[in-house]
Amino acid sequence: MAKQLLNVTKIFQKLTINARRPVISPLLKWEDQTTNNAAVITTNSTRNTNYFKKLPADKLWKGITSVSNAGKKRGRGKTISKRNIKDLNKGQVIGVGKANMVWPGLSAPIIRGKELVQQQKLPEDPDREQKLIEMRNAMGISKRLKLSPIERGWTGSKMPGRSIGPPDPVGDETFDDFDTRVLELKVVWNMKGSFGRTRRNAAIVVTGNKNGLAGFAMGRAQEPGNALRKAKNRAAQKLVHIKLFKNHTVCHHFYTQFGATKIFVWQKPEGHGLKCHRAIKTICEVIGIKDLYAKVEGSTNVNHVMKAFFLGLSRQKSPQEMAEDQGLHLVELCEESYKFPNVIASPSVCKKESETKRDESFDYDQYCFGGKVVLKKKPLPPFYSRYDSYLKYLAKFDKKKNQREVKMNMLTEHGEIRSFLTDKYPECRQYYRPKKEVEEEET
Amino acid sequence: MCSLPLVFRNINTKKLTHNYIYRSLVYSSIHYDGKSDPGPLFFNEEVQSLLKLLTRIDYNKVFRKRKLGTKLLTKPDYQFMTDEQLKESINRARKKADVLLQIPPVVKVKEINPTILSKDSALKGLLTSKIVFTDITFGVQNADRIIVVRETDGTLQEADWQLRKRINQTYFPENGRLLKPPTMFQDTYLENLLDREEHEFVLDRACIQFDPDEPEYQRISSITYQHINEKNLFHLLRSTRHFGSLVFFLVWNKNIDNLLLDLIETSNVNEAAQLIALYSKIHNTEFDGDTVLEKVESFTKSASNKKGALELAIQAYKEVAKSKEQLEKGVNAAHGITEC
Amino acid sequence: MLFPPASGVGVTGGFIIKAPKVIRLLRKGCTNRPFYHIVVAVSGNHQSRPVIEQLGTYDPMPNEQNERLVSLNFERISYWIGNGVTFSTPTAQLLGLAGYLPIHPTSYISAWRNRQKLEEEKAKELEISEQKEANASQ
Repeated sequence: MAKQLLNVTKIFQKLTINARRPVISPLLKWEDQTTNNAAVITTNSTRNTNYFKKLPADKLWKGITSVSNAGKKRGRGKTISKRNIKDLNKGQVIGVGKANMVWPGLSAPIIRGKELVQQQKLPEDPDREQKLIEMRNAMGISKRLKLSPIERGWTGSKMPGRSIGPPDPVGDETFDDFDTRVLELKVVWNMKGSFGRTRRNAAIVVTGNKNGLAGFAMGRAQEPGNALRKAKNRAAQKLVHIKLFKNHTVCHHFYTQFGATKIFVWQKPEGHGLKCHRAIKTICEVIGIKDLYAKVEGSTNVNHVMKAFFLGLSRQKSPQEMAEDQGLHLVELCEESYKFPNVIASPSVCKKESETKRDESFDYDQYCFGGKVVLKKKPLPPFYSRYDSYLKYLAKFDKKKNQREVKMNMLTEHGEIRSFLTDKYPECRQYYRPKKEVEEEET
Repeated sequence: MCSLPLVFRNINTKKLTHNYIYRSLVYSSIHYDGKSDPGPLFFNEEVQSLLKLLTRIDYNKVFRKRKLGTKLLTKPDYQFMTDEQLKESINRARKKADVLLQIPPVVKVKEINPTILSKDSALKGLLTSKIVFTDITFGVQNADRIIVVRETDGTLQEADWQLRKRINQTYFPENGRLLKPPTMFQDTYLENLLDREEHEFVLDRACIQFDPDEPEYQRISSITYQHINEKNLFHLLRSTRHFGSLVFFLVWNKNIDNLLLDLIETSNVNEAAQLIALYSKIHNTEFDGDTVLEKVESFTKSASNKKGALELAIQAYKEVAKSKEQLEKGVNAAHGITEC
Repeated sequence: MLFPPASGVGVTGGFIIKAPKVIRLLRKGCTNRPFYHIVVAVSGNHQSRPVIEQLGTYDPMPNEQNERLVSLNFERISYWIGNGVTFSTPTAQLLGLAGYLPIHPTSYISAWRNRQKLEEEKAKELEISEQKEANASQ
């Protein structure tokens, strides 16, 4: 009997009670059967142990937000991504809630200055809920580092192409006018018998003062930042002087090669700009070359492109050297000055016509490129030239091909789009949509 | 014509055939429209050689770098040359300079009265607007092209020169020439250009837009020349093809004092003598005197409008020449060289 | 090639040697803006067919100076006349007005008709004005 009673009391503990009805001891129920009391007691089976109680919080969290390797192989956890993981505990602090209460000792210090902080209710923050929701929505979405267009590298916030400032001063020597640009930043692996595979970062940078002084170097380190710093400071110790033509372009066209990388470089007039491989462009900007055209044939490995370009630059000849080399006058003929021969350099002893060899070339370009010829591909017609729609467009455009010019002439002559026929046909004037008037609301 | 004073304050607008408003510029347009034709004198070989000498050719200025109107500067062409090739190319450039410095012809204003080819009153009422017929046969020069007009009253006549020019430009456009003359030749804009010392540009553009025997060309060129003469801006046109026609204009209108003064002040006395020779050739007068300076002095006495200034300049030149001579003597003496 | 060349294909061989040819106007331009080419073509050919040769142009709309412009290649026209070409009436009229051919009778007829019309209109106007005067005096 006593055992039975104990069971009954246990059941009683687990009972969920309908709040509308008064709490009645199950013992009474037995008696009530006779008295026909209307009290109703319902039972609900529960388990004391469950999944959430068995494991600690961090393990539970891990179970939700990650998949084991074995599980991944079986294709589990495909919906798990950082975007979906939301830590709802964030922003939920004990003592801070809907009602903006000040709890000394919980959400506020007990003594502030010399005064005792009182428990009090502050005015409610209406945006609290909104802020919480916003914080939860933003969770898991990592925004990319946004750089200003001036600071950007070749592709967004990646390092190659970005500037990392002047090299560090060596003693009293400072590099104030210098600017360093990253050309490459990559991860390199090394295999060792004792350590196994080790990972490091390698950076190639070029530094220069934008006035014909520049150097390049590679640096390796565990951290990318250290690699960059090493490379930068090493580049500052390997500066070479580079000849420029009128401080804006290379001295002459040249051909240069390093490994499988071949570069043809053209001298260009002012205002042309840098039209070349992006690595060459970056190097030129650092050296101070403003106008140039270069074509890279073969491998475009940045390291090799850089080395080939620096080789070519350092092998440039002055006009005097070229004239001396050929034994001929070097003459410039400009379209702007009606091709008047402007002698740039003369040799000490000039060759005579009879002394020149039969197959000797007088061609300047051929001399500069060392006899190499650039591969010139036939330009392909644009992809749309075979479309039916393009032919239709051409047929339609044929009738208004001079329209723009005629319009401009009318504007210069009359100040508006009109002709002598406008007086005869005033309805044929160009229609300008009147500007929308902003309606003022009457109050 | 020749005795016209250069500056007119009140300009008779009725005389002018164009619709522009002549108010801002104080120069009147001077045309070669008198009785005598300047053409034969201008094309005279002696006159041409004198004009070329006065142009004072400086190859650095003739072949200076110009803007070609292209978006980018063109690629300079480099060449290796032997001595002979270099000499040849320089000679070629010199020949080109002769073409570049060819003086635009100075001729009389044209007056062509169109000849009537036929009159047919039975055609009256057929047309509401006249019809212009142009011969576009291949290989015909613009000047020789047949252009006829059928008027509304049935007469068939040759086109007048304005119409000829318009039609030739329509069917055979010349590069740089516009159907309607650009606004830069209107007075306010022209004045602005002249104030900015763009005389060469104005004259070059006028040469393209107009024929030399058009009144509009002569109006623009005369105004430009007068502006140059008054402001003493002769250096702007030196070594250009317009200097010859400027000198001819000044000599023709007997107004060479400023130029003469400029030449003497810069001690180019030989050129002054050439100028006076040109003057005597064109106006058929003689100035006696054996040396250069004597000729200049006799010109100042008889034909100059600015006697005082010219005489002063000659005096100053003489003094400078004297002091130079003395200096040379002194230097020679110091070096131990004596005249024998 | 999008269109046959406006200047003509220059084909004079084959059946074209013996085919009758005509110098006529060919409408170019666009809607509300006529412009004509004066061409030599095989007579009876549709106007969309390529022509043998273009001999000139005719702009029927008066320009700012109230002129209509006609250009003619007289050398080639003479050549085609030598080859026995015929003229359409409008071209014959144009060439007549240009003084190259005798004036075409149609020109005289339409000129006369225009004048008649003008006179009639003038007479009508006179009548009306006279009537008005008469009414006013009554």
